[in-house]
Amino acid sequence: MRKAPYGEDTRLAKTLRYLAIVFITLVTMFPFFWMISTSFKPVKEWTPPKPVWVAHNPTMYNYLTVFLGPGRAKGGWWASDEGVRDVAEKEGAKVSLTGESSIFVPFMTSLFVCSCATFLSISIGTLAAYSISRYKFGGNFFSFFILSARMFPPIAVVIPLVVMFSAFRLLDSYLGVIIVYTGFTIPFSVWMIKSFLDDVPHELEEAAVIDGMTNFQAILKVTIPLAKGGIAATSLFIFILNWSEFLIAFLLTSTRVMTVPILISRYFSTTLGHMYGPQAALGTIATIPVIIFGFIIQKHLVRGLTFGAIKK
Amino acid sequence: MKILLENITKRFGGLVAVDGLSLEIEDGEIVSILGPSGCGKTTTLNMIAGFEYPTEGGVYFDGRRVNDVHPRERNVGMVFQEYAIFTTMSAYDNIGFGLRVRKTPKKQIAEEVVRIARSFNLEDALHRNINKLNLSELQRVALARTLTIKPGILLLDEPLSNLDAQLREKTRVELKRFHDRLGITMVYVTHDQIEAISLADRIAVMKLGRLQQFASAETIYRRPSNMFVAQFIGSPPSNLVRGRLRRADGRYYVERGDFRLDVTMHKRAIDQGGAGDEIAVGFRPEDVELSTGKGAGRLPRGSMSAEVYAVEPLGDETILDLKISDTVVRALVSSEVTMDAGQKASFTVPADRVNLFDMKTEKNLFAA
Amino acid sequence: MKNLLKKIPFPIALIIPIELVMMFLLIFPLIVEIWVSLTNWTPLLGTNWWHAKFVWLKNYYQIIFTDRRFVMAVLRTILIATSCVVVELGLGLLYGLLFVRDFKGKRIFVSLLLLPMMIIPLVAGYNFFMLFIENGPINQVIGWIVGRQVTLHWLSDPTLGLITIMVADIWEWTPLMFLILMAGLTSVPQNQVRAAVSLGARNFQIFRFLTIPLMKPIILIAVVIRGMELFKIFDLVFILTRGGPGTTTETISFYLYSAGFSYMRMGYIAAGAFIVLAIFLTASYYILKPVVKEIA
Repeated sequence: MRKAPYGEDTRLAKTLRYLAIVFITLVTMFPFFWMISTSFKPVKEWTPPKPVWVAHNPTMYNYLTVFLGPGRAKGGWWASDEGVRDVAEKEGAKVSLTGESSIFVPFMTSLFVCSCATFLSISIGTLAAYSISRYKFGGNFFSFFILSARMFPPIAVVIPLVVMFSAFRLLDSYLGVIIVYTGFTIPFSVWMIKSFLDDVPHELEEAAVIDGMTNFQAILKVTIPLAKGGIAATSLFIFILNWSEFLIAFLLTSTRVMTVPILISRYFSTTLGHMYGPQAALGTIATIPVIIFGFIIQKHLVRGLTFGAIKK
Repeated sequence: MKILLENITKRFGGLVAVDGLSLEIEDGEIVSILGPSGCGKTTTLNMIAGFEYPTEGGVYFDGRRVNDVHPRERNVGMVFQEYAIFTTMSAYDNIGFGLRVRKTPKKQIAEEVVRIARSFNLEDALHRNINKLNLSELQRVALARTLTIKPGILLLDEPLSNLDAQLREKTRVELKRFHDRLGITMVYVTHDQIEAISLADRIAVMKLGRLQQFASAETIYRRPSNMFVAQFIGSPPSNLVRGRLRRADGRYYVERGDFRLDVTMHKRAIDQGGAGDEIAVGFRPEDVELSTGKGAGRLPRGSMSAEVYAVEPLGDETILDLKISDTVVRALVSSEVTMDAGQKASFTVPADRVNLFDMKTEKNLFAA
Repeated sequence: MKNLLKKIPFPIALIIPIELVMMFLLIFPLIVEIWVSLTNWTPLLGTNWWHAKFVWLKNYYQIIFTDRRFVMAVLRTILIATSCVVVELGLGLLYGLLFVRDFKGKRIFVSLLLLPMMIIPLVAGYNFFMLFIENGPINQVIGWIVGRQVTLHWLSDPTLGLITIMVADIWEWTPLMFLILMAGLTSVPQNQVRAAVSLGARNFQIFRFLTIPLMKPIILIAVVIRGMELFKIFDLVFILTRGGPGTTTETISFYLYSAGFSYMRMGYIAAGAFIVLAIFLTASYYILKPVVKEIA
């Protein structure tokens, strides 16, 4: 076998590597495949004795459920689903979901809450990041202090928060969720933006101040436009974090406010059990924006997830 | 070890980095590969080391073809630009690395490392934090660690480039002493002609992947093989006047405007060279003979008159830029000559000290 | 008022908003929590928390020394965290090594391998739920490999349940390690590698003596960040096993949630939460100090 020149691999090595990568990718994609496949399965094929890999009788009912909300066994479009009919006939009951809504309200809720929280987190974070980047404010202690917000198990914080919020009438409210989301993503925004600000030379603001701007104007007009790529990436990153968040929303809301992850968890029927189909459908739909955003900021993912420690 | 590069070519896709390079380096020689950036010198070095595989041609060590020999088996010591010291290890471990990877017993490594460190004056630095070493110490560590594997060839990439002038001088001397002590074949790459001239036995000048000339510094200086080499070597750089050949009354002249040089003594070379009428004259600034015209009775034959365009004092010497028609001729004179810009001056160039170049081929008509 | 504002030094003015948020969301709840943990408050009695009776350290004593469930949850969480970090690190390193050299379609494969990280964790949880139920595809595939039908109770067995949770987390977060480690691998200076090669080093020697030491800070950061998040693991436990059967797959977060909502003894739970917090903060302070020094 001919040896490969330095810097290249032998053909055998290349082939083995390619095979390994393909295998790993297939295994990794498998859960995605299953989810998408399940989103097209009728009720009978959700948990049959022998698992169904690709739907024998693909249906759009799961997606319909997501968009239109639950129907009723009798008379509604659900009635056309064999599996639902079986159950309904056997138990003589209406098939109903405990979660009432279609996707629209939770989607808007999530959009609203996540956007506000992201905006707040970025704004507050940028100010603090600037202070740390330019003035080295607080040394290591302050930085660690901010980081510690990320270390608190949400549960530990939520218990007293529930108490506080009920006093302020913030439970099950948009504002409450927004505030908490902001707080929990601030460490990311501060650290990530700080590392982006570090890349902008501070001489530029100093020159602006000499030219007559106030400190604040200098930041707004000079520094931020130069860091806007990084800030945009951070915003998307934090948006993703907020969009995916479950526990806090779960504990702090009940009836009025429902985010998309909460809705997913509500797809549970007393008669049918876990509604795998709609769950998979909604999961697929909900994941799409995250994947798109993730692609866009792929370059900055390392920086974000390591709090700016590593710049690829 | 002897090194033979036989018609080496390296292509990266469409780019030809090294083109048909042939070089024969004697055992124990110091050779410098000199040229501007992009001329292929580092690629050549990498091919000797084994980090690049020649697209065509062969690399031979002592007659043995090593194209397919992995760099780790070539026993070549390499000192990189900026030294590439292993930052996660101490100087001790850096120097002993070559032995450690050959699974040499610890005791033996210790003896070797200490011995080598001593000869480089690095004993105190051995266990200090590697980040605290200064440039000179780092370079010595980089050199020392190549020695533990007893290399047959030593390759260096721009060894003096990131040093300040003083340190450069000192290091150059140390490298020379180092080489003299060990007698090892050394090849180093540089873009600085002074670095090349001061250290190497022979210099290989390269441009755009092609070898321009491979000879001793003196030869390159006196007889540059082409116009590029003539202008590249020498500080201050050589004069190169692009002119036309004129034959009159059996005499040969190269002329450009008021510049007129009698080159009849080279008549045979010109005729045999088969050059056209476009001839360039190359001559060194220090060969320009100035006649200030101050109180001089008769001007020497062949004098040309020019106007002093600029004066650059250099300490005990001065460079005068003399403008004659549309050309500027630089003359290197002693600082006792005081002239100002705007003054008129006359000068001659002894025809036996010039080189004549065919402007079409750019080659030196006198080259063997 | 405006004059007063002008007097505040600029850097301090900048961090006022963040301080407010942190105060409100962290410090204040923390103080409330410590207070409550020293009482025996439970909302069932209808009193406000500041009127609850003080029992001082009784809660702490009870939870550490008599509450086996709590202690087990802590140990279990440590087990999960360490196992997952180790596996994710190893796999991430393996992936990184596979992707060191360029090849056709590398970008696409990298993007694909990063997808698990970008899914909503809850959705990932439901996916794995579907995969690991007794009549699900995982058992089916195992059956094919082994040769006979297999019905492992992934979601209702104490050990298997833990494994399922770990597998789900590993699936979801190995890409993060992969990304970080790949950044580290590509930042190894090429000249140092070549120097090592010219000195005679073989590939695994370069890896051992050069690559890994150079990547130590990055590995450290990756471990700390992942470990930090793993400690809080909740979503997966909630969906896959509900802490069950019984309480055998509970993690700290889940225990606090479950016990909190069933016992309603907020004081007791607050004590537990505070203990966890204290341990965690002190541990991370000592681990993070060198890391923060590198970042800042």
